[in-house]
Amino acid sequence: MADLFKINITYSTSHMLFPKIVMGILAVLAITIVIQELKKKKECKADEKKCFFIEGFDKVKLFGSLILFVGYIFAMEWTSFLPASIVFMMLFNLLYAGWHSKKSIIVSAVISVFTPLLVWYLFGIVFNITLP
Amino acid sequence: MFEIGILHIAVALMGVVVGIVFGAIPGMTATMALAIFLPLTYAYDLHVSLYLLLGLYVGGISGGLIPAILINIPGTPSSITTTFDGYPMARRGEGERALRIGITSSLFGGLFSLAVLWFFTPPLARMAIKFSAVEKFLIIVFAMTVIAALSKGNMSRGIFAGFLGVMTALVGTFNDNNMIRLVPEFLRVELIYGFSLLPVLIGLFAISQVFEEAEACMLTNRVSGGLLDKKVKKFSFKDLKGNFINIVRSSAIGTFMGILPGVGGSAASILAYAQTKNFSKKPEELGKGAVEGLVSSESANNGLTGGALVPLLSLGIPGDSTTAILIGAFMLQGIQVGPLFITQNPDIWNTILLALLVCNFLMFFAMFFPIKLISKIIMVPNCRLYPIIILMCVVGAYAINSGVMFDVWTLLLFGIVGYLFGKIRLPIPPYLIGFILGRDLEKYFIDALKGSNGYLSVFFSRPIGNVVWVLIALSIIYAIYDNRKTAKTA
Repeated sequence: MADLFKINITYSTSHMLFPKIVMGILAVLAITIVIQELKKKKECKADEKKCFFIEGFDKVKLFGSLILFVGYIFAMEWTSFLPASIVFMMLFNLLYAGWHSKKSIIVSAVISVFTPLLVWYLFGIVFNITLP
Repeated sequence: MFEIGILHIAVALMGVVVGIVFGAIPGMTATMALAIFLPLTYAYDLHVSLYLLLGLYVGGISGGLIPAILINIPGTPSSITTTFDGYPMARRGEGERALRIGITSSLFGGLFSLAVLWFFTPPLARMAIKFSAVEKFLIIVFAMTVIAALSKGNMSRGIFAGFLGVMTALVGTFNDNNMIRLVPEFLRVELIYGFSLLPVLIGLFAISQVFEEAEACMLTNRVSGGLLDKKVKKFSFKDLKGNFINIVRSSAIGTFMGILPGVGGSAASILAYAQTKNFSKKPEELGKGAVEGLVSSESANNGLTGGALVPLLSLGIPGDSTTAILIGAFMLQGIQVGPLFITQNPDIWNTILLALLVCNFLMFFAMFFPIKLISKIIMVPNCRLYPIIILMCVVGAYAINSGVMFDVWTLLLFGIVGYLFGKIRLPIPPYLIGFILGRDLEKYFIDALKGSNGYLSVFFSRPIGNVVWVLIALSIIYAIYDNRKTAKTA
């Protein structure tokens, strides 16, 4: 009986002991959630069609953010923090605030030059923190 | 006896202000601020350095509440629970009030832990050192019961997310046998130590929010329905009336968690929040902008400051990574911290107490009065604020391990994970709590089992442990009851 409540810890495989326990718990919980969802679906039937994105979602901004973020990381690897940040801050600002009015573009340019410069000076130079 | 002068107060103020800035930027922590300023202390004597370093420490822990309340991004891991009630308050237009409540609670938490440090250092250290892996494991489990309490009405999803977080934490090398697990072959170098906490945290909270906002065209107002024009509730110290027991309980939990070496500081505010929910007269209000929740989170995370110094000064063991750097400061000056520290260096001991007191008040004044200015951040339009947030997050994620680009990829990855979680209705806070506590949970579980030849009965073999079991059971029963009640009313 006592053996039921005993776990043998083998040195060479001990790194997988806890992950296996957690995986077991996750599997049980996943089954529970699926059953609950099926029950709910039966109750309210499929009268409302669920959509992954919210209604009228902004394709350009959402996927644009993702692409710009990836581009930003690559740009930092290729060049360095300051030029990459100035360029991509500008692109992020244009993407989010638009490029239709002159005033908006000027504000974008000012933000994208001064913020990276300030961050670079304060953290990179004054505090000597490693920047990309 | 002790040292204090204009120079001391000036460096303490500088420390506090710089600390607040570091705390307020997601990805920058009190630990980082201390590490940067440690070399500066070569130039000063120990007393002046202590004012500077403790200022940075107190400021760094406190600053995290600003972005947590105003933009729903915890500035430090220990301010996760601050977002639960602070942000809903800010959305109601009560950002200024929430900040003031948070700051005042921080002051109380700091002072409470100072009192504990002063009076109870020797006996408490003796008690905490008796805690074995069993008690530590059970305390982590106890802290995890907050997951159940947080995900009411949706408990199975919340617990699932929590264990998914634990699973994510297990990625990387297992320290006992140095084997790498759950890592794809091509990422063996990058993930050898698993994912770093801060890029994961910022990704889940900040970058996922950027994606959600981008999807919604950057049009969401952070303050709902023009509430700013109408009369909103202003802060008064009466707000804290009725919260006295809550403050004392949360500060005590924070302080005690700080004392336990090896138990992460973020567990403190999580545990305190869970207990506030359990004891609350209106538990359904928590998470929707309740003063109680905010008070509990902030008093607990500042309770840490004094608590973490207890094992440092009495046993020479740092309670968290920040105090580990403080040990460095003592070593630079040739002073040994340990059981004889207080008797051999009474003047330094008194300076520490006084410096902590001064820094807590400086923190209060440095944040309380300029708050009107700080809270204006909420008025900045999203389309201008988010690019800056992205920039700060990238800098923070990159700098946390002194320049690892993989951490920036981690930031993006968990930004996407957080965004997808929102889509499949998996709650993010339980996931993050699981991630934070996962490694400790495994370590103490395995340690306890190793000590007992694998017999599970070891978890019921210790008196303090059994008390924690009762608390765990009560916490879970309450969460189930609360969950049913919510499901019925929904």
